Amino acid sequence: MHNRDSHFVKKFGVFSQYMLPTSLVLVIAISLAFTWLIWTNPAHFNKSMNENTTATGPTQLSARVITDIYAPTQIIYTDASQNQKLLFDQKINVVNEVIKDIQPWHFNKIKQIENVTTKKYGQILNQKNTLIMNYPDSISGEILNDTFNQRLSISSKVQFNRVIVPLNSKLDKIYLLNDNDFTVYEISVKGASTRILHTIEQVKTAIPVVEILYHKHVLLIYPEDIMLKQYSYLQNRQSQHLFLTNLFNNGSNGDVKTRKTVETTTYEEGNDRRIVFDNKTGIVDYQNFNGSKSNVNLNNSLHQGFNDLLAIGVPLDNMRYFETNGTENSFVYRTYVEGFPIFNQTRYGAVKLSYETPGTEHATFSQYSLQVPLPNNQPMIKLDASPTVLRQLVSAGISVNKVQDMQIGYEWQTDPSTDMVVNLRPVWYIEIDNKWQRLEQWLQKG
Amino acid sequence: MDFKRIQWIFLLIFVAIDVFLGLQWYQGIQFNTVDTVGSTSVLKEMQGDDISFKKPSNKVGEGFYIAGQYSQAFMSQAGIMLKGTSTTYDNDTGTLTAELSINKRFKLNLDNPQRTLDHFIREPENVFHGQDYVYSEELSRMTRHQIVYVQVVPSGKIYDNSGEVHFNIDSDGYVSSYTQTYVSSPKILREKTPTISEEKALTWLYQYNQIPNNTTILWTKLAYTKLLDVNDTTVYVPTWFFGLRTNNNEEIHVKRINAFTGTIIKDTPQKVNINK
Repeated sequence: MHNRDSHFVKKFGVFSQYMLPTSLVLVIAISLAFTWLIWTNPAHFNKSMNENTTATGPTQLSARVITDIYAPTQIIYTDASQNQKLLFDQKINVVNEVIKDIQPWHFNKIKQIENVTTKKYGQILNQKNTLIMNYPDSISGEILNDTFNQRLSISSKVQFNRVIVPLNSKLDKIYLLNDNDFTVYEISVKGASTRILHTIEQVKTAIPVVEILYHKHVLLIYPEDIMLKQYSYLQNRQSQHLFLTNLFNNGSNGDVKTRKTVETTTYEEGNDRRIVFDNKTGIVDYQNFNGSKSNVNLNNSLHQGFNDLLAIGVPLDNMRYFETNGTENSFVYRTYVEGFPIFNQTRYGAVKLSYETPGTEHATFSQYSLQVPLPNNQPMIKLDASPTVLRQLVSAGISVNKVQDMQIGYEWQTDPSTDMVVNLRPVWYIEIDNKWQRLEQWLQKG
Repeated sequence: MDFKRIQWIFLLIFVAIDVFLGLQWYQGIQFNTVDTVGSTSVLKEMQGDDISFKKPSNKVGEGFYIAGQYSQAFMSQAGIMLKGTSTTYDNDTGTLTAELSINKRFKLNLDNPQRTLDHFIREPENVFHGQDYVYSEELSRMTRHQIVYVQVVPSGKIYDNSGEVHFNIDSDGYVSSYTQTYVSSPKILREKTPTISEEKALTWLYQYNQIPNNTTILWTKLAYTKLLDVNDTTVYVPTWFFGLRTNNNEEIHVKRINAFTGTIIKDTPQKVNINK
């Protein structure tokens, strides 16, 4: 080493005196740059999570991608006189069309709007001449980028559950709104085209609605009675074997203990993994005490949630992210029909994932799922307007400020004549104390 | 001098660290695009198995679940409307067979059969509701003596023997008869939903071991096919069709992938009876 050094010094003379320290500084700078790149690249977090799930998961052949699950479920149009309408059309998928219209736009810069009061929040939400895209619960900025094909740099702090697109002639900005803490972000936009206006004009059905701030909750109010269709679906039952292969390391052939009673069948692999099947209802309860915990922020949790859905192997057709709890360690996914969520597929939704204690994963889901829509001739059902519903709650002794949310949903009922068919009936669902129940259930209690 | 030596050692160590970090970072980026890499590597593997195909599109499509019925009343009307033909109707299969009288037969240019047949099929006295059908080059190439027209429904075509017209060509090249099936009053069952892309469908078909080595994929098509029968209604689903020919064989095989779920479509659709 010493000889070689002196050889270099001789050869380059004074030049090498600067050469060596400069290149040293350079390589140190490069290593710092790489370190920064690696630390800021979320893919590295996902990688470790994904390794965990692929080890247990079977095929990664999924017809659905992450942006299908974390997609908006409602599009509301506010016209020039501030009337709001929920847009729906069977022949065109309004949500998808609007996303496709926005994808070629260029999102330029994001900034938080300071000093947003509740009143101001309400004004931004109800601006004239806008389009509101509603998500059932807050999602991360990275999902926004994925959904709309953007490369906007967004802090991982940013969460939102509404995208507002002002439809004035400029089309030069959009807003992200978060109902949980009333934050508003403004994104400047370039290259927007007016195709989005044509899409809106095409839509056939527009149900009058009002977004109102109500005791610190934003409620979507239906001021008039609504007629909604009933649906029937062929029911699909996934086998216990499938879930064992998907969720246990060695599938069902390994060292698995089985316990069977009249109500439940329990499988255990080692001390770490356990699956309990309810023999009657088809509800599955999976626990893994050896999971990985790397959910440093909402975005990572949402990714982990999607990977876990893939690993479990439930069909993701029409599955949407529905809500998280306050501490963001429990996530509920529901099946949607024509923009409305389905309740009581299980007590918690289609799938509930919890990561309550570090290192444990807990999933509740059902062996049953919707397969193929069937023709049916059942009559449409009339649902009361929201004010009527609220009045009923009050007269049953339930104070309105206890109502966290109210939504029209579809109730899952197995057909009385054949267990192959599920009927979906529209009803009002009310959330009180973090619990979703049918309106009549609350009324009986009250 | 000692300081210089330390600098050299540091330089070498940091170069090594840079290489390591660089590799880490590169792998991270690779992971980000794992989906496309996945499909591309499967496509490469397919080429390695001597499967030839045109580069599939990775764009997702859209489609509906559609319900339709055989209508017997409809077909009995057909007999009255048509002229110069003798018709028989098979109740079980819902198929109308029309034999053309001698002076109604006509010669067909088999290179461009649709030029003549497009005019023929549109005349109500030739084919009942003939304007609902369009020429299918792919299906017509399947057998030599048949030209196939398929029925058009909202947002697509039906590639299924329940919505087709087959023209039979006799040995002299004349159109002698045809068989017709018709899906009446097709209804949309659910809002428009995205389908999987052609690329996904093709790579999955391969991963299900449905494409033998040495095969040419002649054509690809997104169209409706029968998924199940419920009482007297049929449910149709958007389907990716692949026309395959093994290189030492003349016969063309059609493989089908459900474009909503990505599963293989069985040859005999499921039957469901609901008591209402």
